[in-house]
Amino acid sequence: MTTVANDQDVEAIRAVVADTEALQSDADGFARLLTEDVALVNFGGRRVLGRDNVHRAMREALETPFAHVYTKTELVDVRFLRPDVALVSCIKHISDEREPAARDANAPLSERGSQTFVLVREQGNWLIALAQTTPIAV
Amino acid sequence: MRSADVDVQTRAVEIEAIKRVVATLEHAQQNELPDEFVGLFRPDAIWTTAHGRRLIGRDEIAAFTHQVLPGAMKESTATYEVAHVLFVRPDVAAVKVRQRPVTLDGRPIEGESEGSPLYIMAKEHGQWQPVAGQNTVVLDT
Repeated sequence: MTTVANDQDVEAIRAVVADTEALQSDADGFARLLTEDVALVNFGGRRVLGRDNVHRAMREALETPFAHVYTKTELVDVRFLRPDVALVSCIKHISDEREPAARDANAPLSERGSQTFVLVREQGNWLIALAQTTPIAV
Repeated sequence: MRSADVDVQTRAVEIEAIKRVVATLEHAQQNELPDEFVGLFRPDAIWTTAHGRRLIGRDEIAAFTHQVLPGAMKESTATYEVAHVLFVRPDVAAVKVRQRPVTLDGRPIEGESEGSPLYIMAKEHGQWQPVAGQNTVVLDT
């Protein structure tokens, strides 16, 4: 089991997680946080593969009422699977600021989600290789 | 290193090894064997349940599994099929699994949501071990 990594790595990882929150309405900026072959599973279990596809899906989502769903990300745990591979556990706090008419009355959004990231270090930069969110049942 | 850097033959061998781990997961679930299930995990593994609850370490995963697995397959069960393997390193892989609810005699159950579990596996001493697992229910769109 390899867990050697330094504080600088942890800080860099915290910064990437903070960026996912800061760039949630910026598809171009968000895409720069991702590896080329990233895999992402969103709240609804939808899987998007590849940075270009995530970029496109995000740009499209920002054209819809989902642009008014905001998230805050609370980091709860970082553990290193390898010196250059980190498993990062977060809680996502969701605030749904869509117009009432745009909300799906049958499927209200959960207020919190458990989000897991795998980050890898590529040429000195920590990038998101994988992200998956599971709504937390109330 | 990207997934492309793992050569085709090595990839095929590793994917087969990973599929065997998923087959054991399926066997443990279908036959309600908590110890077989938990024994697959790395000791420091994190498991996120389908309800978003986090279990940290094999002991917590074991306590939960012993609580929920026995009796869970009385009326229906599930099949686990490897859908996608992403090697983030030659010895670290993200494994997406398609979890389909089926009847006890293996027929698909209409109208029940599939699961989309993800396992992060690391190869330790030659053996692939889940170090993180998470399930997200696939909503109909």
